[in-house]
Amino acid sequence: MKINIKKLALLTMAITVFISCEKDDGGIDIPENYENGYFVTNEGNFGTGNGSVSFVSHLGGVTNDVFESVNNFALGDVVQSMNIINDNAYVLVNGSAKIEVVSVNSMHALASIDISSPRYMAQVNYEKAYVTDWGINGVQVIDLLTNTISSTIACGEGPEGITVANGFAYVCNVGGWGLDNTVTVINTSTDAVETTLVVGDKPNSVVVDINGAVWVLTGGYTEWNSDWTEILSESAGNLVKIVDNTIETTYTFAVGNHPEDLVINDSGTTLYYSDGAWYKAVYSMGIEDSELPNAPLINKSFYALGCNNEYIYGTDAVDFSQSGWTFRHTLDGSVVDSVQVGIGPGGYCFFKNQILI
Amino acid sequence: MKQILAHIIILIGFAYTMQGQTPIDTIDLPEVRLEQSRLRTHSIATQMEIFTPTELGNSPSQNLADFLSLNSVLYFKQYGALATPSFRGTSSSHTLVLWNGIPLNSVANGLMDFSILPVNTGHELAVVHGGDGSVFGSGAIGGSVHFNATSNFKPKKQMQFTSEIGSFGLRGNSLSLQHTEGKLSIQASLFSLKDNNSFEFINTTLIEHPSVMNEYGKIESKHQQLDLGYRYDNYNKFAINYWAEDNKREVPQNMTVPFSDAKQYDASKRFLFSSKHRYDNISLQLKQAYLKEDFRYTELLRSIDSYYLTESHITDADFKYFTGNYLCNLGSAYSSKSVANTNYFATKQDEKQLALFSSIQYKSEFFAINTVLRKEWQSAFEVPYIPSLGFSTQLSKHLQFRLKYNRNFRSPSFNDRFWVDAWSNGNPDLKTENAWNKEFGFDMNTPYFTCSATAYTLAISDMILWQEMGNGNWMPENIKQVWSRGIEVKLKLKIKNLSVVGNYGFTKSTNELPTGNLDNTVGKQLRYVPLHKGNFMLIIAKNDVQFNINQSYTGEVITTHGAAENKTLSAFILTDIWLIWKSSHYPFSLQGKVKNLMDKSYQTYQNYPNPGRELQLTITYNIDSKHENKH
Repeated sequence: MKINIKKLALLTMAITVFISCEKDDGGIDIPENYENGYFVTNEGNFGTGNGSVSFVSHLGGVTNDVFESVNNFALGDVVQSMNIINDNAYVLVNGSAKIEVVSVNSMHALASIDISSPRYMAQVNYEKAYVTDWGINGVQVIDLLTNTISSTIACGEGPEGITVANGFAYVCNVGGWGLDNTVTVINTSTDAVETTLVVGDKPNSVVVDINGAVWVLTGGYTEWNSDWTEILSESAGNLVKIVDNTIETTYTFAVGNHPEDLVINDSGTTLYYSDGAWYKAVYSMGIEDSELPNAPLINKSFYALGCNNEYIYGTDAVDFSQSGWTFRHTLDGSVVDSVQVGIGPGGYCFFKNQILI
Repeated sequence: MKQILAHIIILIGFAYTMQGQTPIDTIDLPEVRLEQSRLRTHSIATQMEIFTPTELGNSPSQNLADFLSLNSVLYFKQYGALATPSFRGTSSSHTLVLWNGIPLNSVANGLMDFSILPVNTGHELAVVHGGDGSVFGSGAIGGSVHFNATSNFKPKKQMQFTSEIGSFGLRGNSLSLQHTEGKLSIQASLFSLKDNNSFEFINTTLIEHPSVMNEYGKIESKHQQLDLGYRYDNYNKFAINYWAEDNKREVPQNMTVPFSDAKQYDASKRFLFSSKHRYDNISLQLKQAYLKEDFRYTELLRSIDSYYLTESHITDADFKYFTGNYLCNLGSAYSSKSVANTNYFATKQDEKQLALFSSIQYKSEFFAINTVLRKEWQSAFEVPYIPSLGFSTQLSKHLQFRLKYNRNFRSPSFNDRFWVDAWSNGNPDLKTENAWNKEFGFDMNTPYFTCSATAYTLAISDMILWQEMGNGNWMPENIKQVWSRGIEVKLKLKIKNLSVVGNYGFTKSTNELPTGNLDNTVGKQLRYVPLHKGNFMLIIAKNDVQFNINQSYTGEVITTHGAAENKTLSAFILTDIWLIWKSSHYPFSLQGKVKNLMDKSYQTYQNYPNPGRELQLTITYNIDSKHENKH
């Protein structure tokens, strides 16, 4: 009897080993094709390390956890944003203090760059990109050939949205954990600060239009007294148009509104953003319009906003603990479809704005 | 020598006795009923477990979260520096912790961190299932946990020193003195614990799954306790209780984050003065308590420095009248609380509340009934009437049936109402959370075997949930509804040198109301609530040696709800073994313990690792006046 048990145990062990071997070796790895669609970055539950990337195909199908399922390790905590540059995708993971570099075709991890608090990224040329970093209140210059940091450029407090145009990079200093009201303009050939423009409290996002004009959205700021009983001052959000590194026009929102998420259509002619004091909605404004729009285009509060391929995209994070959703709308605002993505979907990444020099 | 043997026998015999339900055919003496604590007075038809100081052991490193996660059906989420419970499928602020009847949950946030409460402090621990809010107030929705001083006036002189070393940089010491003579009883204890928590774990969230060290998890904890009792005569007794604690902790981040500069500092001071007076068939118990919480959390790299200071004064009076089979109990509690927080509206908030309850009990040798009705007055929000009805009857000599129907509640915390920062604000219009609990159970008591089984259903409405408003700001609202139901079984078997204890809990706890159009969690099991949880313990005692093995099972929990599939943490089994040798010749005992014997890697909260196999050696040096006399 004793021998039988031993035999049984050995047999069980052998089977277990056999099965586990088979599992490891026998899987057929079909490379994914992440081309005909777009990505959504999902922050994950704050402090839990379950941020992820979802891929939504133009046909409407969705593949969640594309990073983790391919690489067999976690993407990390608070996935902030993602950019496709050259043949790679750069996923900025704020809480885990890193950028994961992956092949955009297969999602295989290629490199990891340590950055203390990465927010957004913009490509400068084939060899260089800028990453805004709250950790250093500046921009990290990334060498795209080696995927390492080559230098840093000091900006204002909490550098957030960034875009590159006309030989310059425009960095929104949103204030980070404090307050700022400037855009740092960096000469991309010298990596030196060209000028700093005062645009209004808490600039958060920036885009470039068809004419090369730079549009910056500021959120505005409410200053309380030290015991939170009285509002000392309240500044409005602004939409600021910058031409030749000087402010050409400033459109001012109502005080108490905190506009955010400025995006632009593919042809660079129409701006979209979220705005509203009690309930945000999506507004659209042509770059030639002379005043801010009154009526919203989509009466829905999105957690993230995107525009690509003649569609407007918006995410709903539901309760930030369960999986969220991405909605697709036509340019006139009607819903096309929606799919469920990951937890706290906070950003879009499209195949566009590639600089191939 | 005989004395020591007797002591060991008592020790072992009492180890892990389940003292849930006293059979009601043993009618207590009037003076016992009159002097009983509020907890025991209202334990009729209540599923309650009591752990004596002996059962809780001497180990300074064993905290309440560790102990209850291995010896009860409570589930603990352990993350960062925190351990918070889910009791009967409820949220972390739904378990009330009390110390001699005084609530300890934070006035600021309603929570209690179970990882900073040591269990070896000479207190008795009682776990009440299903809540007892009608007599103890806000927060006891899933249940309550009571620490009670055990001082009696039996003459005793004892000094006990315990020292412990363990894996991963664990060092613990405690010293306790007990001196009871004549009318005076003194019990004092000092406690200190340092733990580097420098265990290694496989970091599955990093590329190639390296084995890494758990850095940034150091703990330094100190506790001082003093329990003074003075018996003026048989009818008038006075007590002073004091408990101060000071905890400094590093707060590790989840394992995807390579670094943490987060630190947490918790210091509390608790004073309680109480008196018991009995005259004929009436009694009066008075309590005056002062509690202070000093909390600070810093993450300097992110410019986070969060701080609060709370103070509470509680005046509690309890009147009992006993006649024949009836007991009438009237209680009142007046409390004044204040919280200073740099993130509160007006920085400092305070409020006062008054609660009254009345209770009538009937107890005969066949059955017992307890009815309670509570009303609380509070300037800021309405607290409903909180009734409780308990009934138990002796079906046969060994079998008891009990039935309980009670209401519990949780008041919105100060944070829920007064918090304000750039991204979120409290809601001063919040209502109390409302819970109705129905349960019945059977208890079997024989000299060798006890078994207790309970089925319950618990409906919670107006649950407070912080959620993002349409404008991006976060605010709490009374919008969640939860239905929890389940079965709890506890059994104990004792044959000669062998004791077996088993616990099992089946918990189905579901969201009952969508919080928005896209909420697809309705009808689904809540996150971080296992369907199945249980443990099995075997104790073999022979001569001076006691061998223990405890195996606990924690079922799979959901971490994220998805439309197609949920994400989960795997079920796990943990095995602890320990050996206690109590010298019959020398005044010391030794305990060697292996925690997580199978070196299981497991998580109770996503991406927060736990230690693998851990060794602990505990030596206790005991000077007993009787012991000394004997030699």
